[in-house]
Amino acid sequence: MQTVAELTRFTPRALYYADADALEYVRIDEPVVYRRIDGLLTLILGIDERKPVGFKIKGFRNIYLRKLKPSLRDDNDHFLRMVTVFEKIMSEIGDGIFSDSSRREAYKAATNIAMEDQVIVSDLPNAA
Amino acid sequence: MVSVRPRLKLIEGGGKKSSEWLSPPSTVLGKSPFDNAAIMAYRVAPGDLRKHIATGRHQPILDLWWHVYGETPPVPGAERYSSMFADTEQGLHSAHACFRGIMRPVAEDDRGLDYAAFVTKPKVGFRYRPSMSCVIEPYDIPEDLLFLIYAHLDFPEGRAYQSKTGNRPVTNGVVTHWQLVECDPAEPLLPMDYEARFRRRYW
Repeated sequence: MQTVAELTRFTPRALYYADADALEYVRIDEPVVYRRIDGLLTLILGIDERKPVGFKIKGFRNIYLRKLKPSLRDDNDHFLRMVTVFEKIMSEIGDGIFSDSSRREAYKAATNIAMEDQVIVSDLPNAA
Repeated sequence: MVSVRPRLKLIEGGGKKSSEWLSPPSTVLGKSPFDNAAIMAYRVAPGDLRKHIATGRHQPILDLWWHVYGETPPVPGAERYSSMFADTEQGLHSAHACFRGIMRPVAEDDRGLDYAAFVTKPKVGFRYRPSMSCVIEPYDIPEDLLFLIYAHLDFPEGRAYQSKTGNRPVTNGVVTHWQLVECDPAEPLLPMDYEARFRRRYW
């Protein structure tokens, strides 16, 4: 019988959660706090120091199908760099992101995590 | 025509029963969004749960047991926590506020309008900390945090009876995700930015 200790060892991965329609990446398997930044981005923070340890992109299926999938070179491309995802999202938001310093800093923090951890998105929503 | 003989494939562990904590109940009881004195049953979305299990992330599963079902995670050695925290209130049934609409598209729901968000105020939680006696341990939840449980409603307008049979449906929605959030400094029992976050308050 599988016990808690025998669960697969945790490895941070960007995963698409279809029920919540959100792409989530978190560095730690610990209690975390979700801080809403806007309708697209939620920063995931450590519960004690409240420093960013991950991010959540909400409504990711829509973004993927509308903005990201068409730019894939062919149907055999099954992964995306997370940094590229953030670039597309920020170009979509446009100047709005630069007029609000806390929002700008939040996107910067999430992009930094994606860069530092070289996050790859291979778990993509289905088109159907 | 080339005939292909099917090959037998051994699936390692295919017949093994999962332990109880990895097979949570498929439904949970909670308050109705339309009447906080009424109890409704909700299904628990299995897909994302399976993904947490596959990637070895313990925390969302521990949170599901404690903060959604309101039960101590059923792992060996954790039985003592049930009596230790017998007086604490947690779980979907203990929600003190409920909002409608999550102000973002969610899959087929363009406006997130059919979602309800339930707010609870737990005092403790559990985290994965293997030791000789147990693999989980309780921790105090900071005073400024609340717990949110999101459910996609089958009958968002409150349609309580099935049209064909006239019977009440067995379940009324599906719990999709759950998380700790910061509270609003001015109203500590409501989530931060609740006015921007949700369309309206049910109760």
